[in-house]
Parts: sequence; C-alpha cells; structure tokens
Amino acid sequence: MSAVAQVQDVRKRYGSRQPWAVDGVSLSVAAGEAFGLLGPNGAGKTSIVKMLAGLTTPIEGSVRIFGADPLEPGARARLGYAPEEPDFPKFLRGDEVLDYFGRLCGLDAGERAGRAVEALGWAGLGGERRQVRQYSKGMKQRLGLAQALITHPQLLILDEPTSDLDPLGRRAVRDLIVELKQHGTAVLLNSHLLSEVEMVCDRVAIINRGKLVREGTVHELVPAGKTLEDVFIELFEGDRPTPGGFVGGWGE
Amino acid sequence: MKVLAIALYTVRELARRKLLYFLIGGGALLVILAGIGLVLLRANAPEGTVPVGDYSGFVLITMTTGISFFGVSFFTWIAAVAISVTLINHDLESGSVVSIFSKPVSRLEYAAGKVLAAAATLLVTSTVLGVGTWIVVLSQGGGHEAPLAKTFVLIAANQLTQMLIILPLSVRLNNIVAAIIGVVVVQLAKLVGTAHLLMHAIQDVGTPISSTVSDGFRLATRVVDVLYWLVPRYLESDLQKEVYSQSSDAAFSGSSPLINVSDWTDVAFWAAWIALLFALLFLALRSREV
Repeated sequence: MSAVAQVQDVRKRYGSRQPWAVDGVSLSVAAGEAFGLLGPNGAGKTSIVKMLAGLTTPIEGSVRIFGADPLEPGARARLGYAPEEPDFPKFLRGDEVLDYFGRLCGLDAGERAGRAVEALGWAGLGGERRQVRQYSKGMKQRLGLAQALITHPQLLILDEPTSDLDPLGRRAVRDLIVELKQHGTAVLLNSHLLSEVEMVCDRVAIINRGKLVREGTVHELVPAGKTLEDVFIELFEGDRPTPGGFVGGWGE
Repeated sequence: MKVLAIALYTVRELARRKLLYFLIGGGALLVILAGIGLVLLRANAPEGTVPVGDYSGFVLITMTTGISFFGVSFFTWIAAVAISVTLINHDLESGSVVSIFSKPVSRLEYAAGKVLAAAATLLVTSTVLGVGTWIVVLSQGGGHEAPLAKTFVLIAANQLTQMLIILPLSVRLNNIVAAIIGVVVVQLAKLVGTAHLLMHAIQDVGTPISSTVSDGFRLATRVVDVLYWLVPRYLESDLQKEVYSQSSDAAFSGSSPLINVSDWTDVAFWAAWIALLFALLFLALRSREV
C-alpha cells in the first residue's frame, strides 16, 4: 500500500537549548490504515502530528503527506486534522465555522452546505445556534471533529479526539474510524486511551522522549493474554511516579 | 476567494463584538454634541457677538470640523488599536489558528484576509462618523464636501498604518505590549512630521537668528529631515487649507506654511510603508509555529 503520510528521520526541538522533542523518528501511514501513535506525556506525539499538519517544521529529516511537503497549502487539501483542545473564532456559530473552513478548502456553496449539515449532524451539533464562545469543551471537541471531516479527507489526523467526549461520543469516533478505513482513508490516531487504540488501529508506534521505542501491528506488539495497556505499562513502569505511599503520609 | 472568506468571517466576528459599536457610538455622540452646541451658540448669542458674513461661516465650520474630527480621529484610532490587538493575537492565543492553518490556506492569504477585514472595518467606522460630521456641517450651511470625504478616507488610511504597526508585534509579543509599542512609534512619527513642518516653516520665514543658533538649527533640521524619510507619514487632507482660505484674517491664511496638505509623494510613501508593514506581518506569521 502506498504511504499517505511519511515521516523520515525527523528531529524537532523548540529552541537550541531545549531537548529534542522528536529525535530521529521514522514512520508511515498507508491508505485505509488506522495507525496509533502512543507514548507518555511529553513523548513528542503532538509534535509529529503538528509537522504532518503543516503547523510546525522539522529541523532535520523530511515529512510528507500525499508525497508533498505539508507546508504547501495544496498538500493539505485532502487532510483532516482534529487538534487536541480545539478552539474556533468564538463569535461564530458552529455552522458558520464549517462554512468558513469549507471556503478555505475551496468547496462551492452547495458542497459547503451539504457537508456542514452532514458533519454537524454526525457530531450531534445539528441545529445548534449558539456561538462557539458558549460551547462546552465537549461541544468544541465535537466541532473539532466535524471541521476535520468537511474536506472528506483521505488522511485524518486525530489528536486526543475523545478526551472530552462522553461514552456515546467515544463510540461514535471509534465507529467513524472503522468506517473511514473501509472507505480507504488513512487515520492517524494519537491517544492515551489504549483500549480504543487496540480496538481500531491496525498498527501502532510507541514513542518516548522523542524516540521510537516500538512499532508494529497490534498483534505483533501485544502478546496473547495481555492488553496494549499492559505492554505500555511494562515499557514505562520505571518512569511512572512512585506508586502508593502518597496518601499514607497524610495520617489518620 | 480564500482571502475573501477570511475577511468576511473576520468582519462578521468584529461586527458581533460590542466594543466597535461603543466606539462608533462614542464618536457619533461627540459629532452630534458639536452640532447641537453650534446651533445653540448661534441661537442664543446676543446681537453682534457672533461675527457675520464669511468670517462667521469660517468660525463655525472650523469649530464644527475641529470638534468632529477630534471625535472621528480619536474614536477610529481607539478602534484601530482595539481591533489590531485582538485581530490575529486572539486566533493565536485561543488556538483557533491551528484549525485554520491545517486547511489548504497559506499564511499570506491569512494575513491578507485579516488586513482586508481590518481596513474595511476602519473605512466603515470612519465613513459612519464622517457622514455624521457632514450632516453637522450641512446644518451650518454646508460646503467642503470633497475635502471632507478625502479627510475621512485619510483618517482611515492613517489608522491602518497604526494597525499594521501593532499587528506584526502582536504575533510575537503580548498584545498589550504590542499596542504600547505601536502607539509610541506612531506618536513619535507624528512628532517628527510636526517638527519637519515647523522647522521648514521657520526657515521659509527667514527670521534672523544668531549664527550659533543658526548652525544648531540647521543640524537639527537635517536630523529631522532624515528621520522624516524613515518614519511612517501621517496623511492630511486639504480641508483645513480650504476652510482657512475663506478667512479674511491674514492670521488664518490658507497659504500658511503651517498647514500641511499631503501630496502624491506622501501617499506613495504611505503605500510603501503599508506594503513594508504587511510584509513584516507575513514574515512574523510564516515563522510562527502554532
């Protein structure tokens, strides 16, 4: 299968005295594949995702989507990106945000109207008339997902897409990923919810301190009788805060 | 099309913020009060205390336009500062720019759309207040329509300069710091413009002064001349000149060297500054990681 998104020997840091946020990572995502990007907080996952979305640039190495540099606006025409903690122009309504973004994607009036109804309906925001500033975090996350779908993307990048969603919303996102895979869309899922990743992703990469630690199919990485969470905990057990003893110090 | 989309939705956002209506309302109130004050002055003045004939028209129109322009200039200036500190900075700080920049839109198109929206908003603000002033002038006998219209366009142009100085700074700095630096730069530029006008007026008059003072003055004039070509220029219409030319009093002569009227060189210089500031805005946005 051809790579829709490709990251090759990429290094990235935010200042010459800062540690490398991404340090020599290579990975690729193929059409019709769901790829899970995992790692503890500060591992460099969002930095990789932002480079793929054309929001930041690598210091070394190359990043390609659809064979082109994501900094080129044309390369992002078939990209859908749902950022972590999304926000939007706060005095606009949800349907206006989608119309605005639809125009930026070069859609005509008919396409914009149709796709806005479709995406807002899927996100459970159909008929919502309030401005974005009156939205809850969950509603903003739903709108973040809806705006990512407006282009009918061939590559969908989801950065912690379910962190503020209720169980129904989480189920809807999982179903969406499965449906998109069947449609041939490549999905890059960056999430801490390992059970979800295990359910929907074909391949997984685990990153720590900017370096790729493991990569493979879920079956390759997870031995029989164990879960992805078990594998993850085993990998990073030494790094986690001291378990137990914290409340014990409080006394009776 | 993408530039227009960004401009359209930015204008829509600005139109929904109460601040703009407050500023337009404040300016309009000042213009209306100026008009009412002049009507009352005329109606209640004892016989003979208000000059008559051309001179009367001159005084009234000067007062009207003076007060009104203060209102229009001041409130459009506040609008320019208030809009520019939030126009791009809020998108960056809130993170809404993340979703926008992941779409197939270049940062040049984003910058152009934002500036187009800002310019349109300033022009509308200036026009609304300008029409108010024109109505007041009309109530006092009318006249000066062409220079009045030119004045309001130039007010919007001047405030666009103010806005474009703040915008690139607001991409890199805290928006309050950006506003303070931007306002100081524009005030210094105005000071240089005024000093340039005054010094050349003194030279033209040819007042005899001692050689020591004369040398110092010449040096200062040269420094100001250099600065004058380095800082943004404040555009001024011929309204003041036209109004003053009605006066029969020599002190208010329309040919006074202290009355500055911008010519096409000044407009070209302004346009060059606008292009330079826009380029700075684009570069600030291009290098900004979100």
